[in-house]
Amino acid sequence: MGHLKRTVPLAIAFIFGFGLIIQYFVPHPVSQRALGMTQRWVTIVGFVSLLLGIGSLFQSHWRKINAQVPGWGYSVVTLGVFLLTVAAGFHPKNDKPGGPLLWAFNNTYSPMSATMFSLLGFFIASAAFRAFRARSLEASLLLVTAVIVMLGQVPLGAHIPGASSFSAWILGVPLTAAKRALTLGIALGAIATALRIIFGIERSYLGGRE
Amino acid sequence: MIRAAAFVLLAATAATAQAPADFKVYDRPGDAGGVIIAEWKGLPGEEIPETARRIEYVISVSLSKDGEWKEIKRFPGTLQHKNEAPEIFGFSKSNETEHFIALKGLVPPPGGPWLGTGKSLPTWVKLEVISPAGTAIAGPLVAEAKPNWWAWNKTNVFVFILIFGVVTFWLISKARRNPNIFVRRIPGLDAMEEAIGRATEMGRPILYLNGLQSMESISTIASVSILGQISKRVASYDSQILVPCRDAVVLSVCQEVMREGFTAAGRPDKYREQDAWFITQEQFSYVASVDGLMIREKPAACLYMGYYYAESLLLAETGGATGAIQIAGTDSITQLPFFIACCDYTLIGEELYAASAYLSREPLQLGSLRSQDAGKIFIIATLFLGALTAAAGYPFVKHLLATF
Amino acid sequence: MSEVLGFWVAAALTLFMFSFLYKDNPFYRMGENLFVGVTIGYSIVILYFESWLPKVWRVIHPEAGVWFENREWWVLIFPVTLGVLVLTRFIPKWAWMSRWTFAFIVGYASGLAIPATLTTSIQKQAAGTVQPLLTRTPDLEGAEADARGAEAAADEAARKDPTSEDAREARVRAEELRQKAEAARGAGEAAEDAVSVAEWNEARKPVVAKAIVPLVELAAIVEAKAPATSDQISKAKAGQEGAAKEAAAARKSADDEAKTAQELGAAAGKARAEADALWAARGKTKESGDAARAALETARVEARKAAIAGKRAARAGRLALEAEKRSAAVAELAAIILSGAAATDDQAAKALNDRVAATKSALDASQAAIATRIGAWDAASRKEYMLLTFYRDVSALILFVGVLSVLVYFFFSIEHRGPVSKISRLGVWFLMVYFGASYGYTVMGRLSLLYGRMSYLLDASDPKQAWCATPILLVIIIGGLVFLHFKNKGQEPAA
Repeated sequence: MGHLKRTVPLAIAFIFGFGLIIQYFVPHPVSQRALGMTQRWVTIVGFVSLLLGIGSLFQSHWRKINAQVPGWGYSVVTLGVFLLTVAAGFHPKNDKPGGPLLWAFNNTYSPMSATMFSLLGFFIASAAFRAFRARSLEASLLLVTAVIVMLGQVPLGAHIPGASSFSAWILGVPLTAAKRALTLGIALGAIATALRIIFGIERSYLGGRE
Repeated sequence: MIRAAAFVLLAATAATAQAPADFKVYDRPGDAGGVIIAEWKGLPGEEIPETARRIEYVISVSLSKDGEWKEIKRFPGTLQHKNEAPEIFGFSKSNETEHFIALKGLVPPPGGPWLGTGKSLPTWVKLEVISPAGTAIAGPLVAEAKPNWWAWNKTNVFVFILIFGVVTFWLISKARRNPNIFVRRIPGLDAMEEAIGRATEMGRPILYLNGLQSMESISTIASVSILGQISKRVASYDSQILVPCRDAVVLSVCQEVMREGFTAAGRPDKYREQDAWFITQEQFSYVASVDGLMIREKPAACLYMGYYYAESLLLAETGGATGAIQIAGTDSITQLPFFIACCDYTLIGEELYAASAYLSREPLQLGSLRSQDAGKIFIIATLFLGALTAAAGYPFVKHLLATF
Repeated sequence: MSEVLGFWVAAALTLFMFSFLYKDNPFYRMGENLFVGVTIGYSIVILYFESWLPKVWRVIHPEAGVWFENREWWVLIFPVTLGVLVLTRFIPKWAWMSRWTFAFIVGYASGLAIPATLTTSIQKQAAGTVQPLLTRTPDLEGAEADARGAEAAADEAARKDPTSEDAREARVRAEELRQKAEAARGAGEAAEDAVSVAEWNEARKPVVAKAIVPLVELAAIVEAKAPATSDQISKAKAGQEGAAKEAAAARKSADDEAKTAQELGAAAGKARAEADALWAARGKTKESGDAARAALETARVEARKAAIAGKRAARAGRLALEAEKRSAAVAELAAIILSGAAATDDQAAKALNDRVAATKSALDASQAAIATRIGAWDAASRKEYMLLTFYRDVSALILFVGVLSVLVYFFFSIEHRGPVSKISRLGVWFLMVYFGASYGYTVMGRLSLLYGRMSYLLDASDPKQAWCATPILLVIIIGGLVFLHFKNKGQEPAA
């Protein structure tokens, strides 16, 4: 049993991990087909596991409805709208423009997404106040650069000599430098983590060492 | 006198109308098949553009040596040099004066067993050279396209992986022998303990997010590993952790990891499966729901680990407004500025990948952490060497790093 | 009808979501739950039609659609098993079996990530940083060719994807190189101009030195306060004549220079006007643009010539004035000498003054020559400097140092002490500049999103609006919030 719980998964991770590394270097059509097949498997697993997600969603809302916890009505809304949307998705009129799914998308999904996104307009200002209260050399550096680059972006900046070219220089040189080093570091971290997984050193995704 | 001039003319014709040297036709190495390469040396004098422009090369193919020829391409001597395709020919200096062309190997009419095999019929290739002095022919030569088992132009990548893998193993085995490894302080990770303690004192939960990517992203894997370490501490402090998920697979892994964490801490009874749940896959409705949760539950600490997109600020700013201790860790370099602005601590980029090893203090993991440092030393050395050699006019470090 | 209804729904939901800015409230909560329901339903539908049907169902039931490649339907056994294993999570006793699926996904992700990350994030980034740090740009043409090359590269990148990071970086680089090439060209021209002024001044130096000789000699005679000898008298006569001639020549030369300056100034003005007209009238064609650019270039050259001529004319005018003064002084001294009497004390003192002044003007001329020559050297070295160390080289160096120091900051197993601590601190500064710059760069984009949302709500010209949707909904929601506020007031202290 311990083997089935521990060794088999580690072996699966090793086989697929190692196999896909080697696959990268093998241009043969057999290898390309193997890659395509594996990618399709991942998609299929993703779809099946979405059922799991929906199961979890139903469980958590059903629990609230059943126990009539405060605000259980909202759970009814979530489940009801979910079922309505699925019904709209399978409605025969969806082949034509103006079908119910598209209507739902255009008038609920899309405006709400856009609104959440646009809240960033407020939050970017309030977060700036939060950040710039800190009094340290680093925080001041952050603030000053942010202001300079912002001036380079707005029409006002055009009236300040050098603002836009200095801002362009900041974006082109120090920003690129930091970004490059960050990318390099992240890549090393990701590769090291991936190696740890393939060789079974990192196994916490299976729930710890035992 | 006239005869002498005519003789000179004839000699000149004979000299320039010669066929190019070293005409070769072969299967393109290191590919999925289907392509053959023809290459040859440029005519003498081609380095002068005026001369090169007056030379024309014509490539034709056929299924048999004296069969029906089909013209494939016609181009002047100024084009199709081997240095245009370093992925096939590398960076040799002589590539500047040699020509090449990549051709599709001839196959029978579509369908049948040939489809997708990368093989071709024996394909005859003929090169005609038309210069002011006359026409010469090289070939015909024959070659077959076939798929290959090794992409030679990616060998440098393979060597780098091999070196990194070997160094990692060496450092891990060193760590096994001598488990006392120095690791510099990472304040964001030290603060996690404090955050969990605070949550216990206040009797409020900890909110843990895994980022918005699926389980196929290494940062999500790193984040889930951190969750494993955190759950152990949460269990031993007798606190509560909430993990709303955006991906069903991530949810399942989180549940598994949390249960094991609670078990490892000796409190399997405290584990509640419903503390990790699925909300939705869509970015902004997920955020809307998590923001609502933050305002209603007022968690004592919010931990954001993993990869985030534009919603980072929506999450961190709402969390900040509720007064929670906030610790973020992300490798999403575009979102780092917002976490830095809103959170008390931020694990920057690579620190996210160091977190699991740091928290676990396992020698093996710490050993592999040192391989990341070894990688950085290697990169720094490469950059220095590259800058120096490039200044001296030798770009070979750049060539060594080339990817195709 | 459904469009109008749609707008009412969309506007109401938009306002529900915005109400979050006030505080958590039933409207937001309603919107939030509805949003979750819609998106999860929507993703199920999409996944069903775009993933399940084409990738699984039609493979098992080929008559329903296309065949899986090479009819290998049995290969589905493995993934479907993996999927089913995930579902074991619903049965606690078997839940551990889902680990097999996790292991598959995690192993797959790791294997895929290693070569991909190594090539795109390490090799490409490192190759981009490997550059000669101090390249000597050989000449102005080279600098301008670089700038043009960068411009072309930027155009090319913009053609591929105008919004991409690469395109932006290429544009920034091209702009930088263009400015540098212009600065170097300016420095080169300034150096040429300075040389021309210096040469002119150097040519004047011996002229002035020769011109003061009669005055110095005659002043010496007067200062001796003795009756003049016949020899001295004839010298006085000759000196007087010579000084007058010299003054006349200097005046003429000054007039000539002034005239030249005036002419060149007029020509420059005309060229400028013509160029401006061409520029304003240039069409979309490359030819007319090139012609206008060429005219602007000509105007610039003309303006430079005029400026040099102006400088010379000013200096020549001053020299002429000095020559005239000198001529008057020589005449005065000659008169005293010619009178045959010994000079008075006053006359001797004045002669001394004149002599000092003359010597000084010779010194001035010499100094002007030296000063302008030094100016020319200065300008030349500035030009050299510009060409030698373009600030793109400094930028390349800063970029290199930045990459290195940030990498050093990320060292985990090396103690941050001594030089490592200093370098990693520099790395932190680079990071902070990055965070700040990136924050500042995003602000405008985010504000425009907000603006977009607001104008969606408030665009009364949109027929779907039915003119009143937003105001009515706004009144209802605000009313609701006020009502809830008062309703909950009594309960608040308890919470």
